[in-house]
Amino acid sequence: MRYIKMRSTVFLFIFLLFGINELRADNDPDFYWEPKLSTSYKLSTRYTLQAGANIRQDLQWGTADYSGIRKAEAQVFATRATFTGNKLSLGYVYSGSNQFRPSRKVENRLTFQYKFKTSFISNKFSHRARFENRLYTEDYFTRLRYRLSYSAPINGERLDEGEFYWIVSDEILWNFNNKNYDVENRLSLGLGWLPSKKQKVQFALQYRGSDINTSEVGHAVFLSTAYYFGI
Amino acid sequence: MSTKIIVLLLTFLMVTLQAQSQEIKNEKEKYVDRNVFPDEALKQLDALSDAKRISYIRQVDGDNVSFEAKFKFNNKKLSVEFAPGGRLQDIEVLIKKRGLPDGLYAKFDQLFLRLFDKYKITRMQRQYKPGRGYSGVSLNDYLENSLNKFEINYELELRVVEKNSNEIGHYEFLIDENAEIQRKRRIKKVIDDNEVY
Repeated sequence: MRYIKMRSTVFLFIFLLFGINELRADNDPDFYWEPKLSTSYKLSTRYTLQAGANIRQDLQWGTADYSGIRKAEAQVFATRATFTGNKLSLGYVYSGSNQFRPSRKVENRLTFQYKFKTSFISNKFSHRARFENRLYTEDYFTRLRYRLSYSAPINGERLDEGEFYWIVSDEILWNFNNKNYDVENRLSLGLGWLPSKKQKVQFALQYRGSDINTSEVGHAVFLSTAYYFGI
Repeated sequence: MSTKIIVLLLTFLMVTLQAQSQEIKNEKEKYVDRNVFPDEALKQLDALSDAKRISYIRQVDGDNVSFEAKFKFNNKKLSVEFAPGGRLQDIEVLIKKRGLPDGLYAKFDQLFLRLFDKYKITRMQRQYKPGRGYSGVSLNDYLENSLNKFEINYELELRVVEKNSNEIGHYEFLIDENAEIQRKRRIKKVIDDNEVY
């Protein structure tokens, strides 16, 4: 137990070190809340369908920058699992509207995704690579994303029903046909609860540094809450 | 004609019932403090002079409750299971393919290819269970290399592709040294991907 706790503390420490370093450079971060509802349906042990919806609520009430609900998204994904446990997905995301984000209008996003796991000193790491085609009325962007995440149960070696887990992740996003070729980093620390085998509740605090390869770095802090259930 | 249909229906019913009655692994582990462990178990564990990082676990497997200590000893990963009274139930040592006796892996291979289209062993442990006819076998007997007092089996976890269906499944097998199946349980996986979409 002591060993597991020590291991968790080391990962947490590394995460905080990164986070503090990123926020130290911050001048004026934006704050948002992103609630999410997500569900999945297993067609077989190989094929799964997922659907989800989320909004982005501005938390800067009373300021000139307050923008209410900034964004609304709905998504569907189809996933095929390989024998080795890797997952290949194709997804569609509908994002925003004129009402929410007049400058960007509606986005239709096609996503290709590949997920796999690796082991390092008895720890399992999850990797997710995404290729996104982002289609707007008058624009088209492509984006590459890579996320590394690590999750561990708070009590026990394996996550069982009724138990809590913590999760840390870092994701790099690269808009590679944009004018500026901007890069974004998303660092996240979360706490989750598995009330039953088919349900999950998760809270996470996420720092987003946008345009980090330019002189105009933007900072935002997201509180994300998610409820997941399997059908 | 009608007799044939009845026979067919009965066969189908039997196959369905057999599939449904398949044993499912329903094990839950929870870390506990050392002082929750039975005294007799602690006495046995205290004999370990250079065990590193002992984890104390309370395990519930269906209706059975047991106490498990996990630690590293002589560069091997051991888990020692005790009954609630402190009696030694078994010792499991994590091993790799090369840790198996000669020829046994080939027998496992034959066995699993008979049962499944494709398989991968994801975890393999050698299990030492107090042998029949021996009473009061303790962890100390294992440490002193009195292995003749133990019955040896192998506990294997597998990811498989089921025969004729292309479906993926997970199983736990307990197999003896002659590659005879002692127990077969289906493992029901909980959500192992904690990144919510």
